[in-house]
Amino acid sequence: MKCQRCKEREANVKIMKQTSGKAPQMLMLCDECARALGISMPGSLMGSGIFGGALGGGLGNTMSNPLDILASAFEAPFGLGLEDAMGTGAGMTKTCPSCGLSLAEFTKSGFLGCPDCYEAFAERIDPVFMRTQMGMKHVGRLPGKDGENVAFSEMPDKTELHEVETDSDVLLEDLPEEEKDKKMQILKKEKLLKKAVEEEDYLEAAKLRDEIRALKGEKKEGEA
Amino acid sequence: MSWYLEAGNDSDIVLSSRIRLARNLKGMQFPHKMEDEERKKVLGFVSDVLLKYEKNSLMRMDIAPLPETDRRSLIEKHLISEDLAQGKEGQSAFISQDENVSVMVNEEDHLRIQVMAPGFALENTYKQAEDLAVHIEKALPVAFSEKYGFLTAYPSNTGTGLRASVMVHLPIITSLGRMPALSESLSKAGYTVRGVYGEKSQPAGNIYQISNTITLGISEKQTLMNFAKMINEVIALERKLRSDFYEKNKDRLEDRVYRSLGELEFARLLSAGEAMNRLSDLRLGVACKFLKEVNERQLMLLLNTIGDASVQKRCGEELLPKDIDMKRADFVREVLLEKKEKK
Repeated sequence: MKCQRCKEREANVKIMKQTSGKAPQMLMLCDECARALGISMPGSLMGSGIFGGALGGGLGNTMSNPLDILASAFEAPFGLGLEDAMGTGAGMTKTCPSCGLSLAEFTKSGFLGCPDCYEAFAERIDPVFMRTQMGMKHVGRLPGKDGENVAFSEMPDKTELHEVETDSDVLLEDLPEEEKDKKMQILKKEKLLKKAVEEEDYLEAAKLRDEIRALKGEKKEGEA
Repeated sequence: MSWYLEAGNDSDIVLSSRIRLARNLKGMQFPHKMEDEERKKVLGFVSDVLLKYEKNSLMRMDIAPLPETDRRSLIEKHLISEDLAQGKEGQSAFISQDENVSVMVNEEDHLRIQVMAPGFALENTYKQAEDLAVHIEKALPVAFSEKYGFLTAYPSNTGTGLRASVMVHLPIITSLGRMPALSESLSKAGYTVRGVYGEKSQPAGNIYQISNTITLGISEKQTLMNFAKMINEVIALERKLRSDFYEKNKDRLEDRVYRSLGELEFARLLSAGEAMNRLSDLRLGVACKFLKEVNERQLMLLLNTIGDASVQKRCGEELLPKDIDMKRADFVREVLLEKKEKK
């Protein structure tokens, strides 16, 4: 299926919006348009490749499950609803009085046109800053003034990590492709398992534990 | 001497630190909305100011007239970005003698000040960048609002306009399959991680760039302190995993590192990715203190000079891809064997 925004590239990002009492809305985008809309996603779909990259070739693909990214899609930096993303929402014709950039153009590219755009589109920008930044008020240095002393004298001592598990000594590159894949699945499930236990979701935890055992080729509890 | 050949702090993990400050001129549109003539006007305004900076003499390099190889080579040295390498009229870089300071003009913002240093060195690096920023702000009216701070073309940089980043070498975190989890927790804490070398889909050399993403509602100092604290945790994790792994698997790790040394010393054709991955092993061997045949300086020199464009530039002619691989292998051998012969 083609991307619904550029109508050129192949779509590989699926975005669902669920509003209670309404039918779910769906939007299919290509990587590039998703990025242009500021939808940030973990993993190789966005090309920054920490998943695909760190793990080497084919593995990347197994991680790019669109379902994984649904949750983050609506936390897009510039908080786009579906209508906005398509440039069809109300108010999208509002323009900056200084440079003439329209809100639709801004939401499409993510770039503002001139310094005055900040005031012109404050209504749209402020809530996003509230969510993605530490508030919406500058507290740093003023132009032309020397800043505060940035010496780290009161820097905390080098911290120990909260937890360091060091049981593992299997290197991914020493494993054949299919083993590598399995190893990654195990690591992923172990992480979910820890989360499930923390959240006291014991049903989920038991399920994950069995899946991990199965992957490791171990027997289920109680089996001879 | 090139800045990256100097010894840095925590250099077993941190290759280099970089501070970037984004600034724009008041009353002008951002570069992406400008025509050639307007960008040239911006360049005219800032050029005099930058060339008058006394603490560090900067050399102006207009991108448009530069041949492609030179542009790629500047990218490989992290002096300019892909965006600036387009070389539109008015796009220019001002670069210091030892290449640790560069100011990009008419990139995403009118001015992108960048200072790099070897190892983990945020404090001094920031001070240098701030000093240059203050010099500019005193000479030119910059786009600033009390509410949003220093205004930038892309709103997620506004506020301090400060992006701190480090290049870290994380071979064991990567090899143990921990990178996705680490990258996820860093992202939740307001940091991004990306592979530095290799293709986008397959970074090479286990080298990553970690940077802050939050610029508004936080002071420069707090940004740097939080960032340093977080990087220290990453350093501690990689060190711990390294020493545990080496303790338990001494033979395996030494075998892997020495095989990589053999490959680099004898290979006649080396792709950039392969060279990076083998050099990553050597760095690990040096950091674990068992590999004595190579030193950190040689490795830093190689990491920074074996990109395709750097190889081409050294040869002074256009090369076919397979010839690049050959010249790269020649150069790697030359650097690695140089020390042996001196012994």
